[in-house]
Amino acid sequence: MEIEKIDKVVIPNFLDYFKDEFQNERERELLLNLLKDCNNKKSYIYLLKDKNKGIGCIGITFDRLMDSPVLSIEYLFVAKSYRKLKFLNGKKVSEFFIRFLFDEIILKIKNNAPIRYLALYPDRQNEKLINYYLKLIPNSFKIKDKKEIWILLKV
Amino acid sequence: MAYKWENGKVVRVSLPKTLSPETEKALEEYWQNTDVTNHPWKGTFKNFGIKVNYGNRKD
Repeated sequence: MEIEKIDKVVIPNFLDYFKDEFQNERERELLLNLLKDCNNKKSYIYLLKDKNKGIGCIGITFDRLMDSPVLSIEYLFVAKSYRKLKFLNGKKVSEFFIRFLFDEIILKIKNNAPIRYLALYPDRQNEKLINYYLKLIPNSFKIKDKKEIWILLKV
Repeated sequence: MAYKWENGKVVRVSLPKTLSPETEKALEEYWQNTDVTNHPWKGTFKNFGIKVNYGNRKD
């Protein structure tokens, strides 16, 4: 199993990693947007895979909040078969990815450029999911602007 | 930035450019009072034992 950083992608080949692993068309479309943004140099993707089988991927980009630099999670996708599994040291894939960003990627960025927060936009703004992330991520903070809720983590 | 699904289409969502005074104050307090040096997740990624391939682009 390994994580691969991707900054350019052949879209059909990438989608092959997740053949039959989408719950619905919406998930596929969201991932497709991330892949296009990656090819337009707006995002990087980190793919967790086991040989030719995709387990999940996370797309990141930079953003700003009140003039503070932020690393933003654009999309976190976990293959259908791995969603409920706790197989990475007893952690779910989604938790694994957030820990990876916090402890690996942000450390590398911080050594070279300023960054204040990691930001996450909970999918569908689902209340259960928002509470799950707030409980899961130590020291996280929720901000609400108009209708949108974001979860921040000081880094 | 992130994506959301709205009326059958993918839409981009950006972090807010401004915040209400209350939220801004709460965020400032969060920033001032949160100690990141002792975060429980710090230094734990290596425990997963998963290799990261950053590629070898030279451009």
